[in-house]
Amino acid sequence: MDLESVSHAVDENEHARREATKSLNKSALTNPSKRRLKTEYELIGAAAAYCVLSESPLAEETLVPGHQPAVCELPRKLDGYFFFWAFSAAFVTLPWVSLKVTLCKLTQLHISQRPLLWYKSFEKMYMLEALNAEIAPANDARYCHVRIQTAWKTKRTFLETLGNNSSLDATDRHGADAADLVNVLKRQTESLVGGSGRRQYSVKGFDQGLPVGVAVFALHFPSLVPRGLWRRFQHVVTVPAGDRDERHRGGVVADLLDVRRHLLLDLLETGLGVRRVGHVHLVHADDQLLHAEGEREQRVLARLSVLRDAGLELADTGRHYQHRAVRLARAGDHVLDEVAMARRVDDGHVVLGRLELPQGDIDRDAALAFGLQLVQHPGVLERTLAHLLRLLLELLDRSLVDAAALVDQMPGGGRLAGIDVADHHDVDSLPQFQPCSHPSNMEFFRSLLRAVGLLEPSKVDFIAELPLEVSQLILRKLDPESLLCAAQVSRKWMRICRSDKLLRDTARDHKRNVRRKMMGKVFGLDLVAEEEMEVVRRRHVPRNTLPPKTVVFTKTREPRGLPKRAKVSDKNGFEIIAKVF
Amino acid sequence: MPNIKLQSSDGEVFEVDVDIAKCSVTIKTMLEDLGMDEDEEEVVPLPNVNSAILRKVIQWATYHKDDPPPPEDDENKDKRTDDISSWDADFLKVDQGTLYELILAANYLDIKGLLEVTCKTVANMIKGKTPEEVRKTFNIKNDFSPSEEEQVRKENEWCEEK
Repeated sequence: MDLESVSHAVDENEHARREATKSLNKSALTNPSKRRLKTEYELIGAAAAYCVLSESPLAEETLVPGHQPAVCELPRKLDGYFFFWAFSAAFVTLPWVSLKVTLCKLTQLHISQRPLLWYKSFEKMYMLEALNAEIAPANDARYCHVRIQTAWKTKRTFLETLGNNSSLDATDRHGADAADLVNVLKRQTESLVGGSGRRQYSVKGFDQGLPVGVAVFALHFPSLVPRGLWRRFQHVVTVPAGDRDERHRGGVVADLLDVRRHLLLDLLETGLGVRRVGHVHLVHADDQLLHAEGEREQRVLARLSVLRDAGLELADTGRHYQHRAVRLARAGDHVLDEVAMARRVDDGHVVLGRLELPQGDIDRDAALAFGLQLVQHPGVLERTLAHLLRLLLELLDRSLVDAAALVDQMPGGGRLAGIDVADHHDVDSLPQFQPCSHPSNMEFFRSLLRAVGLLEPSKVDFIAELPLEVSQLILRKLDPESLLCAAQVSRKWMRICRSDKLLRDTARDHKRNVRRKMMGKVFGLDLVAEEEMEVVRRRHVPRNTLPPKTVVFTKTREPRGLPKRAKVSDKNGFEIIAKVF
Repeated sequence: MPNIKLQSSDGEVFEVDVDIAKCSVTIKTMLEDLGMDEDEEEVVPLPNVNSAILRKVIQWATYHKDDPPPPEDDENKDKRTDDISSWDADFLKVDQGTLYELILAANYLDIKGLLEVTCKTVANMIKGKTPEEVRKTFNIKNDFSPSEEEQVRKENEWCEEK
C-alpha cells in the first residue's frame, strides 16, 4: 500500500470521524450503539498512544494461532478494555489482566485480515497489546510482570493523552467526552511533532536493558511487583535532576529513591491536588523519525500505529520503522515526565482536602505525583475523576486501616484477597495487594467504573436474545400479574409468551380470576373461588344435590370471546342465568 | 482428585476437578460417552464459553459442588424466585451482559442449578414492573403502536389460545 494513499484515506476518514464524534453527546450514553462508538474512540486514544510508547520487542512466534475471534463479543470486550486504565489509576491493577488477554486473543485474527490503518482497525492496536501480553505464557512468573508492564504503559498512554491536553481550548474541554478524547489525541500528535526535536531530560541507568516500565510501575503500584523485583530496580531508577523551566516542571525529580515512606499516601495526596504540569513529551529519542513524517498529525498517527508492525505490512514504507531498535518512545523519558514535585500539591486546589489520612506524617517533599494528574484536565474526566478519587480514598483508606473490610467490600469476591501492611518504613512496606485464587473477577472494577460513571451498565434484552426455551423458563418464574405486563413489553416478548402453553394457561387463569372477582363485586355475591369450584367439578357433584338458590358459576365450554353464562335451576324449574363479563 | 482441562473459546485452559466439571451435564455426558481417561492430557474444548464466563461458571460450580442434587420438578418450585442464596446473589451481582453470557453458558453446559438461579435473577428483574419499567430495565424499544398497546393491555388476547 502506498503511504500517500494511506494518508489520504486517513484524511477523508478523519472528517467522517470528527463528524461522528461531534454527534456524541450526553444522550449517547443512553444509546447503546453510540455508546460503543464512544468507547471505541476512547480506545483509539489509549491504543494509538500506546503505539507510541511501546518499547518492548514483539514476539510473533509466541502467538497462539487458531483462536476464533468472536466479533459479536467485541463491544463488550471493548468495555472491559477501556476501563483498564481507570483502575490502574486506582492502584488496583491485577484483575483486568486476563480480560485483556481475552481481548487480545480475540482480536489477533482480525489483525491479520484487515488493513492496518489506525483509524479503522482498532484491532490493530489491540494487537500491540496482545503481543506484549502474549509474550509470557500463563502461570509463568513473568506473566504478571509483562502484563503489568503493559498495563503501565497503557495507563501511561492515557495519561499521556491527557497530559498533552494542556493546550486544549475551552470548547474542547466542555464538549462531549469522546470528542475531547479525539481532540486530545490530535493535539497529542501535534505535540509529538513539536516536541520531537527537543531533548529535555537525561536519564541514567536505563541502558541496562531492564524493563523500565516495570520499574516505574513498581513506584506506582509497589505492591504489585515482587519485592525482589523492586530491589532490582532500586538502583536503576536513579534520576538526575532535570531542568525545571516553566513548561516542563512536570519532568523533574531529584531522586526517586528518596521516596520511602507513605508512598501510597503521598500518591494519593498528590493525586488530590490538581496540578498544572506542562507538556509531556512522548517522543524524545527518535527525532529523525518524527521529522521525517511530521507534516500532518493524522499521518503521523497513522504511521505510528503501524510502527510496531512495520515488518508485517508497511515494511517497504517504513524505512526507519523496520528497525525495532528505533522506537518512538523510550520508557525512561516518560517515567520522568510523569514525575512531578509533590509540593505542587499545595498549590493546586485540593479536591478532597478535608480528608484525613490514617497516617499523618506524610513526607510531601519526596512525594511523587503519578497517574492521577489526569485530574488536571477537566475536559474529559473532571467529574468522574473526582468520584474516582473519592472512591480511591475510600479504598486506600481502608486498606491501611482495615484490610478485612476492604476485602469484604469487594462485590463478588474480588481479587484483592489480602492486604498486609508492614510497619517498617520502606517502600516495601506499602500495602501488599495480593491476588487471590479467583483471578480476574472483573466485577469489582466494573462496579468501580460504574460508580464513577465511566462505564455504563450494559443492558441486554434477555427475553428476546436468549434461546426460546430459556426465555420461557424465565417467564414461567413470573407471577401472573408480571407475566401480563411482560407480554406488553414488545412484540417479541408477546410472541414468546404466546409460544408457551404454560404461560398462556397461567395468564388465562389469572385473567379469569380477576373477572370473577370483579363480577363478585358487581353482584354482591359471595362467589365460589376458582379452586373450590374445581374441587366441586372434580367430585362430579350432581347439581340438584346442591342447596337450592345457591348460585354457582361453572366453567362453560362456550366459544371464547362470548360472554359466559352459568345456569342453575332450582326445584321449581327457575333458572338463574348469570352473565360472566 | 482427577482433574480435567477445559478450554474456553479464546483458548484459555482451566484445570478443574472432574467432580466439579461434572455438574455440567454436557461435560458429564461428554466424558461418559467418550470415556475419557483420567490421566489423559485431553483438553475439552468449550467453543461457546469464553474464559471470563467459564471462570465464573467454575467458581460457581466449585462453591456448589457439595450441594444436594436439585429436587425433581415439582410444580411450585418453578414460581419461587426469592430463594436465591446470598452467595449466589452476590455472585450474580454482575452487569446484564455478564449475566446473559452466564445464562447462555449454563444452558449450553446444562448446569441446572446455575441456569435456575440466573433465570430467577432475570425474573426478579422483571417482576413487579410495569411494561415501561421493564423496557427501561433492559433497554427495549417499544414496537407496539399506541392503539396496539392499548389493546394488548386490555385484552391480553395472546393467552387465549389453547
